[in-house]
Amino acid sequence: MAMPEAFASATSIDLSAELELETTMSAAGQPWTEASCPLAEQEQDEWCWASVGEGVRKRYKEPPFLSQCQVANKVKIGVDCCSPGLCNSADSLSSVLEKLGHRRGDEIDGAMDFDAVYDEIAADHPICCFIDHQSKIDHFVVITGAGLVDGVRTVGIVDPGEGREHETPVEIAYGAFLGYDGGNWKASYKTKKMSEA
Amino acid sequence: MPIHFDKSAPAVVSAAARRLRSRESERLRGVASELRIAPPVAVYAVVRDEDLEQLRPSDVKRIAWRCFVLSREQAVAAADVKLQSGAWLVTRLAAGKTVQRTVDAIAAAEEEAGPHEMRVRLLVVPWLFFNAVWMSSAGPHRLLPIDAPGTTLRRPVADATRSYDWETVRDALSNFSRARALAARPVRTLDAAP
Repeated sequence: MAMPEAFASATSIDLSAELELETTMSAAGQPWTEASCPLAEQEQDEWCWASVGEGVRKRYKEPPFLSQCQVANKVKIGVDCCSPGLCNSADSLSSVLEKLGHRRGDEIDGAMDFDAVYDEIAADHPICCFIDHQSKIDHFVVITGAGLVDGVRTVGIVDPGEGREHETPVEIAYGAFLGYDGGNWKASYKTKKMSEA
Repeated sequence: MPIHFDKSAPAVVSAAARRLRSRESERLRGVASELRIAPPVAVYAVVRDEDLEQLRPSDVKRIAWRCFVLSREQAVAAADVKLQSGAWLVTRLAAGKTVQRTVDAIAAAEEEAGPHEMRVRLLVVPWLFFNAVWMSSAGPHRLLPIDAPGTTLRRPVADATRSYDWETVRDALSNFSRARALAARPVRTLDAAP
């Protein structure tokens, strides 16, 4: 598809300007750091938890590799979630992470403060987040980056639900992430390798 | 020009440019040496799902300005800019396929408008993962869904290559929202697992 004609008046920007200043500002505080977590798009409408479980498993590179339906089979007892159309319902990410051996500590009630997020990401541990939309429709996403960007506290997230940006996290100002997409960050889950305490 | 966008403050583009100059943005903006920022497109959102059933165009609120970042003939990133505490701030910077898909949808809206004057905005319903180009003119409001891969329920309007009237999309979204709300909700704790 061609570029819209309405974009013909786009403004050119000089990328070299201010670069040194920005780098200095950032390095003095909390430089951008990442703990990648390669999510695949959720395969069913209610499988954000399965996608996140699969992604965390993949991120720590611990065999056996589990597909989303195999992750679902860990928590949906008595049914084969790898049969088409089954198990499309919400579930507990806390339970999934525990059964996979990747949950570190208990569920944290509410949002984590930025410094705690930064320390966790700097230690190479992605953080899973529960987003509550008006107590009706909810979602899980993963924080995979944190740092000062242009002087603004910023987190990088991957979202299993939108079929996008799984390879390149969306960077969101920390304050905006507290109300991510009109929802509220209501709970957090630290992750770990299976062998870690 | 057959389509036009809401008028935005010059500071919107300045804020996006400043953000893109930061070294931390190198990954998102790619390796291109020359970048351009397209005229900002207003982003409107449906904030509360109970509003969906009777949703009218005047009910939705503008939440940000989206500046598409162009390199040659590709859209490589999108910066959402908001006014916060008196300063224009990039609150979200995204890259990936959805960015180009959105620009493609704007181009499709432009083609559909033909010689007619048409105002173009973006409409999002975040918790339903729904994004559309919102076209309005002297006639009825129309929505052109932005194509995204996904499961069937996430695409309440089947064909993402053409526009639909406001009421058709609203009713489809309302039904979709009810269906999702009826599904078992994600649960936070072990004890609450169904």
